[in-house]
Amino acid sequence: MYLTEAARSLYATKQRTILALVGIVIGIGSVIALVSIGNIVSEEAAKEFRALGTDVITIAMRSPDKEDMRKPRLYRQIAKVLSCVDSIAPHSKIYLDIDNENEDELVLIGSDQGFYDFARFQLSAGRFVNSLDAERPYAVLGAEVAQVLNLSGTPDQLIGQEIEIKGQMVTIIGVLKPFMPLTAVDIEPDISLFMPLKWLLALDSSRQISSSVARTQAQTDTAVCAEKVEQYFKRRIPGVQTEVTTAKELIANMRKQADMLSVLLTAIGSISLVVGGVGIMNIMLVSVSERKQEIGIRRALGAKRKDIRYQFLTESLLLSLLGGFLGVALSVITTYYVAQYNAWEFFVSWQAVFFGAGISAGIGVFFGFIPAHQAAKLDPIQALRGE
Amino acid sequence: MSEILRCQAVERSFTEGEISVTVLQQLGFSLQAGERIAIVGSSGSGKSTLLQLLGGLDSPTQGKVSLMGQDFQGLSQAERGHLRNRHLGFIYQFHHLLAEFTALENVCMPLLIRGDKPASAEAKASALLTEVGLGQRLQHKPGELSGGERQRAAVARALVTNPACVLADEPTGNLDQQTANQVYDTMLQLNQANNTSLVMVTHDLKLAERMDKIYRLENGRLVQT
Repeated sequence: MYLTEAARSLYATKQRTILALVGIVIGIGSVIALVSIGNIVSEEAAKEFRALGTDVITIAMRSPDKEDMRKPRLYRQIAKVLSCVDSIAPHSKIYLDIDNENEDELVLIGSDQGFYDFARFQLSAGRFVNSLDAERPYAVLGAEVAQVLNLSGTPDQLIGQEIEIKGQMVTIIGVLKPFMPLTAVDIEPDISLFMPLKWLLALDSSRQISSSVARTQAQTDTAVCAEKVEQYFKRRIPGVQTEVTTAKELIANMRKQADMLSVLLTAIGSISLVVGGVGIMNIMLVSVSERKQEIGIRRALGAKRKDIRYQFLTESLLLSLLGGFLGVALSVITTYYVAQYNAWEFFVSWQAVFFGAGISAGIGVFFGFIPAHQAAKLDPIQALRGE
Repeated sequence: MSEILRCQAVERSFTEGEISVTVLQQLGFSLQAGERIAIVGSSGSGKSTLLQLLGGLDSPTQGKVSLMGQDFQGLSQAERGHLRNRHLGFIYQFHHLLAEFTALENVCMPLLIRGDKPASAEAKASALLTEVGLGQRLQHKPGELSGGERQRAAVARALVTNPACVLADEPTGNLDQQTANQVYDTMLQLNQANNTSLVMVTHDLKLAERMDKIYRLENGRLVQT
């Protein structure tokens, strides 16, 4: 009985019901969407490391001595000097603004076969750059680069075509298959052009090889190896500032960042929920005030105080659950489109959905209690007079 | 005849600040099963206050009111609600039907509050609404009914629980003479058919004369005329 009457009452004041729902829908929707998106991001990061392996070390360096930092050989030697290092891929990158209607941005990455092996790329056509290419103007296109540069033809047809980069004519020697973003080294292969490292360094005499990725030998303690790598560079390049990070540390950092972001965003979402709850309380207080005569009639017909309390509590519970349901729907839609936009694998966190439903029910009971209690304790005579 | 309602030495005062006003004093009467009484009096004489005391919605300052042998004073709010639901029906000057609900749902309400199953409540309410001439108006909301129809639906709501007594506060006061007579006739028919006692507060002396007894409320005291 309470449920039907509550639904009827909410339907009778549609406009007010919708306004009361806005806060709760946004609150629940944002909290669940943020938690779900956070989970998807974590899963995507984990997926990247599952693909790359956890035996990866990233090395970022800065040194006032520019010359040492421009020698690829210095980097490649590490695999010979340190037994724990299996391979290393030094690289350098430059951002390239494209003058088209979308104002796209491509990335030029100076690298060699080592980077190809590290990332485990796959080619659609042609070959990857290697150290023998030296300073030759060759380029391997990421999967989406041809489209950004408005080049037509199949990958095979693109091989041999020339494009102008930084004022130089560059020959396309290969095209990559689509590949996931490499968060560990902050590279999106699909919008990158891979060129010989020496060609890139020759473009600008002040450019350094500021980052590398290394893979450790099997059965090696990656953290110990990272320490050795750091010592190696400090010895070889005096005064160098290094930041050597293992995959485990990267994962831990990403998780920490995701957790911090989740806490922050959940806090913001919680504020929306409280505001939504106060909105419900406000609407219910107005409802009690407007329906005093109805309360009086019900009491005269024999309804007990608890009947009146349950009636209004059911109404606020129904209102907040409806808000929770719409919020969950909103969060699923938002998460779906965010995942689509970023090419992430979409999934719904059922924990977050149940959490949302539970929270909205809690809000309904918590913020509906005071109005319901006020309605229940109304004097029936005054209520009948509508006072 | 068995006693349905009894008032003994009832007094009701209202205090505001240091001022105390006694509205009713030394009231006493009893109502038997099937008996019909009218209470007349000028505006502000305390008629509605008396009705609220009889219905257990208000408590006397002194004296006692008992329904079916149970003194309201000794009952909790929940027990009073239960007693009202079982044995009393109310009819007001303004129908006081709930606007969002159909005539049928309004009449079902006391039965549902009592805990009847919806199907059973609907059957009883539907039968009674048909009896008062609203068989074709079951699904109409109060806003879609005429004044007389609303008041007949209110009569049906008061009687649907088959109460021992109906308390009516100027039930025809808001209707034209012809419609008032129709509603009044309906009330009396149901009163006779179910042996329901009737206490009616009214300004209309012609209607009051059709009752078994007439009491006049003057200066807070009840005088039988």
